[in-house]
Amino acid sequence: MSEQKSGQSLSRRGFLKYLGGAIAVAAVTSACGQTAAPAAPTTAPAAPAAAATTAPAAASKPFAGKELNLYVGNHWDANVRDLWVPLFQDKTGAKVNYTSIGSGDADAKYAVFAASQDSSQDIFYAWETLVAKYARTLFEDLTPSFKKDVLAGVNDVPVKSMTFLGKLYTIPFDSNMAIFMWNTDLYKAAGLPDKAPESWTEFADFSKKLATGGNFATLFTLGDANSSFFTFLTLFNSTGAEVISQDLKKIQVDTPEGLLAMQAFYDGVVKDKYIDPAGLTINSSIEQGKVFRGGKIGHYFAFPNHYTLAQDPTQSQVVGKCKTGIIPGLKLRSGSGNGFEGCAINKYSKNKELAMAWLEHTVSPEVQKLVGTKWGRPPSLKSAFSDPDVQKAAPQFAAVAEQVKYPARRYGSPFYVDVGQVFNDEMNKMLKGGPSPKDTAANVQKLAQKIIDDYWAKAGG
Amino acid sequence: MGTETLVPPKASRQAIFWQRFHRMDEAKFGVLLLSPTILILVIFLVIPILYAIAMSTQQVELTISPDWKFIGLANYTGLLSDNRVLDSIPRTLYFAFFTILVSTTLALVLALILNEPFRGRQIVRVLVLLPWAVAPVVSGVMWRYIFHPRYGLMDAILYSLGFIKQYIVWFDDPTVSLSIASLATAWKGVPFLTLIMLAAMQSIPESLFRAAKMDGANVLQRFRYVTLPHLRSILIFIIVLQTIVSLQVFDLIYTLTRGGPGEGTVVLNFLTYLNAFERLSLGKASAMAILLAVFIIVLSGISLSFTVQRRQKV
Repeated sequence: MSEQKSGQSLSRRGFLKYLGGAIAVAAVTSACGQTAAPAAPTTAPAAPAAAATTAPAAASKPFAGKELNLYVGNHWDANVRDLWVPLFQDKTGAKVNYTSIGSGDADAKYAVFAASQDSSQDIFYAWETLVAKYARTLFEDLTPSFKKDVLAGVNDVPVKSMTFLGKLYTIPFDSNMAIFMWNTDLYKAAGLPDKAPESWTEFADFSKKLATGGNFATLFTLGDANSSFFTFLTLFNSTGAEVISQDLKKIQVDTPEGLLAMQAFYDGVVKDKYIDPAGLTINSSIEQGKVFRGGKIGHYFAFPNHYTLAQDPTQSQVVGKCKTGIIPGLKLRSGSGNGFEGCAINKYSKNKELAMAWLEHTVSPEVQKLVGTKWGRPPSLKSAFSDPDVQKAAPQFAAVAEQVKYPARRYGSPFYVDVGQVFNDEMNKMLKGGPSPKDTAANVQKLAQKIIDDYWAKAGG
Repeated sequence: MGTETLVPPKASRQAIFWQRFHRMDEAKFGVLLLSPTILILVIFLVIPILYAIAMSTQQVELTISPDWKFIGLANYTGLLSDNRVLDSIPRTLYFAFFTILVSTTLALVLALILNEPFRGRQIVRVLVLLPWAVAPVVSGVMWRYIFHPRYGLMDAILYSLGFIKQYIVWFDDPTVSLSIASLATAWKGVPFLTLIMLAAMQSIPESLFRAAKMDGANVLQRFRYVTLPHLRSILIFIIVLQTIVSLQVFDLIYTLTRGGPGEGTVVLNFLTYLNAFERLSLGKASAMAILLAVFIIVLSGISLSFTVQRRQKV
């Protein structure tokens, strides 16, 4: 019976023939598909000049025929991929393969690169905490190799923030830090003077006048570990105190300054209700900026490129209606939090010479001019601030030049997320009407210190 | 002479190969056909699992060093005193309980409705399947926008109906956030559960309902004494299945709340992710993943035994 059955159906030999045929067809189809649609990473667009370059001229360029692999946050696409990369390709003759990811996903991706000691990427997007987290396992120590004369031209505040335990791991391309921005129309409607408040007390007074008719005056991001810690720091830094000691071993929140900062948030959200509680679920300054650009809040602590975005009629309802100043402080005149970003080299890269050329490119005068004029971020190259084009394109840099005189530390560390999570958890409870600011500061102190102690016990420092 | 006769010509060797191939018994042929799949599973499943087991006995802290240090079962014992793990257990249980409650109830109601003849039933049956086709990440984003504190559909509806005077911030409360996450998971699971229940309902002999009707049983009594007893084993299967789904939830939490507010929606599987990819404690994360996998395997075993029992009864 079984013979009968096999005689009626497909024979094994026939089956294998069909299977082989199907595999061949699949292979051909897949090959055609690859030709039609190249897989990621994308090759960055070539600059018009590069396209016109003849082969011998390209060969004479220092890195002709070589390839550089960039692995960066997707918020860089419009500037790095579309503007900086073509310039670099033209300058060096190298081909750049550009891969971008959601910036929030960088941690997960880098963990895999570090664990597998992957050499497929040469350049990584980095900021202070990524530097501290991946200094020992993924990022190349640039201290001995990066050109000293080039580094001398870069603002030393961001350079210092990209240094972990005395070694430099990232070259910052901006001096990005939060400043103050207000909506002139809403200020006028509330009967406020057209100027930035000069202290937190004045800020609170202004806010109370702006918070009318069910509207809130301002919004802070407190939606996750990073945003909560950053928001706290922005205010705390204006007390002039230090939240974590220089050696990264002691947290100092249960202090008069820590309490002052906690109390300020508590009053704004719980007592006087001028800070939008929606901020408890928002973790992105991009989303915060959208609320301002929708004309919903009167003022907030903004990154400088938010001013550039606010002047874009395609995404702003407050074009020509906003001004910038420095952040009103709690004890000092001001304080801020930094959002410095830069590029690091993969320590497993087999292409370090070209990667180093990329780092130099990011702080070159032509790229730094683009940082200021096109991106709206304060450049890291000191000389770029005096460029008339930069000054004209980004008037908000006048506020940055003033803001930079005040503390803006971010306290990047390997335990940043865990400590930030404590801030997020405890501040959320407080701002929902739970523990008092004093108890919150004490809880944060206890829990965060334990995390720090545990880390150093494991790290053996 | 002997050697000449023993070595067959090339053509006849090929014939012998095909002869043997055709005579190969079913079991061997089955293994041959399965071998590509087995190879893929070994490379992408078995080896990583073994790697994770090995890693769970090591201290792998990428913020400190890329090196591995053998620490035996310390990662496992450490979990028992880890406050984050202990805090995430009741959250996970709440999430699982709420998900099971909502999804099973909704699926049962839908299956009962779809089991009755009405005009357009076929279309409704197709429409009910739609949430199942939505990717978990998309589902997370969609639910996030439904409950967004500024542009959310839920707030807009409540506001326009006059139930609220100010938009509610839904995700600033851990219990509400966890409930929304459960609701979203249940919403996605309901179509599949409805299908299973519908199939089970359609296998109940019609004569039982007729007999019950003749005995004067009303709709509720027919459900209580005929339908429900027949669905008992499938309900247990569904509960076990949904528990497993709840324990494995990650993508939805990632896109919906990212574990917030605070750690209010950090369930066990999400904590495993945080330990691995945010804290870079790969050893500890591997230990958590292994324990979770063992727990899920046990639950799957229970589920399987119920299925077998049911088949034996049938």
